[in-house]
Amino acid sequence: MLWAVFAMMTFAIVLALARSLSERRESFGGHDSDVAFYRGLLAEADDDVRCGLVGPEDAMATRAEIGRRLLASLDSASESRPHAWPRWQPRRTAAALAIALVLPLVALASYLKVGAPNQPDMPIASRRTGEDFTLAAAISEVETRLKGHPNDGRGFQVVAPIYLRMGRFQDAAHAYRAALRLLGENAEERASLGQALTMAADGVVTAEARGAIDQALVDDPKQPLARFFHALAVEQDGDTDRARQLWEALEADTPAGAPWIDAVRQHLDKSSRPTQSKAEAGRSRTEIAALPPEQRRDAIRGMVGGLAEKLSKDGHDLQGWLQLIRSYVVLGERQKAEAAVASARARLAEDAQAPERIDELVSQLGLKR
Amino acid sequence: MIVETGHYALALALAVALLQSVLPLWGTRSGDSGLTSIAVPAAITQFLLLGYAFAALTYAHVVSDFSLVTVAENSLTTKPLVYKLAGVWGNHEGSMLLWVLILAAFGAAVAILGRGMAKELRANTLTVQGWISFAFLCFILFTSDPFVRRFPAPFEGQDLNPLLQDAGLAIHPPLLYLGYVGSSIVFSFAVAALISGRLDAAWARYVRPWILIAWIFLTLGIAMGSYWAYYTLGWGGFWFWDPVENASLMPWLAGTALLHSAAVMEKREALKIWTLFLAILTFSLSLLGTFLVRSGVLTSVHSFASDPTRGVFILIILSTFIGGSLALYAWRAPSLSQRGLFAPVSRESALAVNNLLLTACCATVLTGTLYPLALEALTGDKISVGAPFFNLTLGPLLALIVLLMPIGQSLAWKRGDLLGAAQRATVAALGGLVVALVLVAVIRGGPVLATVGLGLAVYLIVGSFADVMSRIRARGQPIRVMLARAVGLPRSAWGAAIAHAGLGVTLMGLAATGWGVERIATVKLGQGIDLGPYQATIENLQSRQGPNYSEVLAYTVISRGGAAVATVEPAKRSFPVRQTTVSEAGIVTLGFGQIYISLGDQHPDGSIDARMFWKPLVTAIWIGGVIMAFGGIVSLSDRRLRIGFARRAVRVRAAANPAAAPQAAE
Repeated sequence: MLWAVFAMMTFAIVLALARSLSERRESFGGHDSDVAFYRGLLAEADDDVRCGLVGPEDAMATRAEIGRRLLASLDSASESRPHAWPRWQPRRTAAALAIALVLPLVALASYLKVGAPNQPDMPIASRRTGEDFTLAAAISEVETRLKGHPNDGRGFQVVAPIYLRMGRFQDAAHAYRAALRLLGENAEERASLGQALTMAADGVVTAEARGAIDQALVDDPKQPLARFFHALAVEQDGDTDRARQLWEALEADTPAGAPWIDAVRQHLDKSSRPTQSKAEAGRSRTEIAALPPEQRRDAIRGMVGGLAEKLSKDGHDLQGWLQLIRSYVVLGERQKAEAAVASARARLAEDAQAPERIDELVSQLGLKR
Repeated sequence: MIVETGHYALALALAVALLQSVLPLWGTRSGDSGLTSIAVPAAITQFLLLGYAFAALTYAHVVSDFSLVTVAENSLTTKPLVYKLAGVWGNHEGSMLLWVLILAAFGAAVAILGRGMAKELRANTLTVQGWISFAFLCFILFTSDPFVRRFPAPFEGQDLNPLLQDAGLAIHPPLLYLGYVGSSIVFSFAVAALISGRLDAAWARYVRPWILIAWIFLTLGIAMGSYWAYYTLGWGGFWFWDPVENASLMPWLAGTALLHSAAVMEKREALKIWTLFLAILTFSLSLLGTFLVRSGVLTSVHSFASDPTRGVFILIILSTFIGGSLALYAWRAPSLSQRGLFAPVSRESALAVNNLLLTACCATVLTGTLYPLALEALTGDKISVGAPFFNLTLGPLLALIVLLMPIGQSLAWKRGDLLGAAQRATVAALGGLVVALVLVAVIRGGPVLATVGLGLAVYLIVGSFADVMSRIRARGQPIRVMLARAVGLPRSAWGAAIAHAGLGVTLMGLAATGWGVERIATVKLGQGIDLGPYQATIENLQSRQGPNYSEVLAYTVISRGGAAVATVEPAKRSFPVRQTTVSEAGIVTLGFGQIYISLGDQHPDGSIDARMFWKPLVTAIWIGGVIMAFGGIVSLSDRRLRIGFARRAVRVRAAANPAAAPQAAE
């Protein structure tokens, strides 16, 4: 449908432009327009005389001047005009080709470089049915209420997780703090504060976030969210073995079907896979983060390269592929990411679960299918 | 699907621009009218395509399609509809799309309205227009695409910069762009003349309405922008010599010079080469303005658009167009025939002096704007060139221009009578002097400059109409004849008089700032503050909830001699999504003056910091701008090209036979 509309638009433009090519050859009419122009001036001079704005003698002088200018302009016009027309018209053929081929090609090529042809319009009204939307709508009501009642802990409690989902992490952290202050200690909310702070710092468990998580674990050592971020913090510190133990323990305690189980398994896979070479494996995330930007990028590229190499030898690793695709996107190499999507689909053809997971990731990252 | 078809229309417009910039020129060079006439449908389709793309983007803003990055970054579901619309161009990407849309609109207008023009000139002009369009469409599609999508799409946007959420912003950029981009069509005409080597009075005739249109919009855009800065920034100033403001003032000065030199070219076929140069200069300065605003070289109130990487692209466009056109000018201009010597005392030489002075002003502003940038780039020193520099350098130049304006206006073409012109100006000068003296007498010891300025303003306003009056007035003639003459007088003469008077009105407003009163104080509720003849009292503070902000407003009563005359509600608004607070000035217009109150910090004891001003005659500044633009419109309605009639010998004959001889016109 979309492509049909594109084709129609292109066709209409080509037609509009090509129509002029069928025009007969004629001179530019430099003469005609000049003569008309100076005639107009003569008529205006007459009008002025009639209205009494100009004396008849002045008008005579003026008419003479207009006449001189007309002659001069005719001279210069005839100089610049070519005379002979060849019989065959290669020029028009070339122009026709330009209109019929170059125009659509340039339009299509530049559109394909920047466009997203598979994406429908997404007006907010058509998305109102989703669960996320109702949350977003609820939030403004609660916000208004909280302005008037800044000590309403319940309100902050309600609004905090919504902020978190909307990606307003600073606001979420602020709301969790307010709820904790007003309603007293609560392990789950304390852990969520840690989560909000971590996400506000682009996924790095900061000292402040760590403090909140540890506090939550003191109150409730079984609190799964706190355990998750505790494990993440340990992993980020580079203590892979300890992190793996924590992930395993968390997985064991997690009931089947819990929403965070996938994330836990992902980390578990990562920490238990001996994919990285020894030198790179030794480099923990924090160490890499401490490097200067250039070297950090190189180090990450090195790790991603290692993963790609491994997958090209043994391609039956869905988690590995997903991680590779994501890493390419993070590095800004979308083309490589798209290539990886294609090879992942090819290599994981037998895996029944694979297509769905890949599709999900692709749409999440906004890659081309 | 609307969004993606809009995106495709943009790509298609790029392809059309490419053809438009090659085929018609090939046609005129080889004499094939089939190729030249492609320019017309190309210009029109390009306008339709860009219009569709712009409509698609507007649709996305209106329905809050947050899958578009520009919408997500600049909109909000709860934002009022008018700001959703203003948000379309309240950001870099959208405003660039508006820029090319206006460019295409001018191109289409030339294609449609230029039927009477020489075909060659039209085709070449549209070709040059195609080059500009192509360059800017590349810039948009590959560095600042307004249709970039992001998935998953967020459910709420980040709201428009609160400073820009204002009715003034809904009008100011489009007006300014109409002015900037309008100068592009004049530039295209100039380059087309250089390409074809034909430059005559007919060219001046065709190009004149476009110069006027661009000038009118630029004038209105600057006035609007200044008023916007005045009431949203909360400082009470209306012109900050901010580089971005200067960037719009420079093309205005060059454009004004162009307007006058084009008049000389029209009437006397002189100053041709100079007119071409001014046409190129005006557009170059417009491009420079766009570059300065868009590149992030400058940090200013307009810095919502800064991104250095795009600056490089615009710099390339800038140097290609300015350098290329100037090179073409250097190469071709000597081959154009130069005609029309003129006498030292004549309207054309007065206009040449005007051109010199205006370009001197323009050069001064350019120096003041770019020198700090150059110095910083070379030595790393940051200096700021501000109001004192501009006041000292531009003040005398402007005074000279104003003094000469009525005299030049009443000089005749070809051969003028300086004494007569001076006599006519004397009346005006006397009027100005009397006003100045009376003012000195009334307010003794008041600011000298303000008095002088006001005297000059009166001189200019009276002098602007002296010429028109002398032409319609004849001794012993009945009123009816005078009226008939007034109607028969070319509209361009009326337009010039009105526009000059407009400048006088603006000058009046500027001069009156000398009598303004400013108070910056911590005000307690109920405490009266004296502001000139008025007294302002903040009665109470109230909180209110807007659609996407909350505000504290101060209910203030303005009284004079104990009687309340008006109320104002200055406010401080805070926008939670952008986490910014904006001071919303409270303004009340009393006569031509205004009371201006803007709020500062609130103190725990209930008092509040406030800046309060009484600004007599301040509205005259913008009213003058509007009058100037109106003069331009009047002039535009007179589309006839007039040959300059000499006024010679009329005086002699008139003396001999006063009843029969009409007092010669132009």
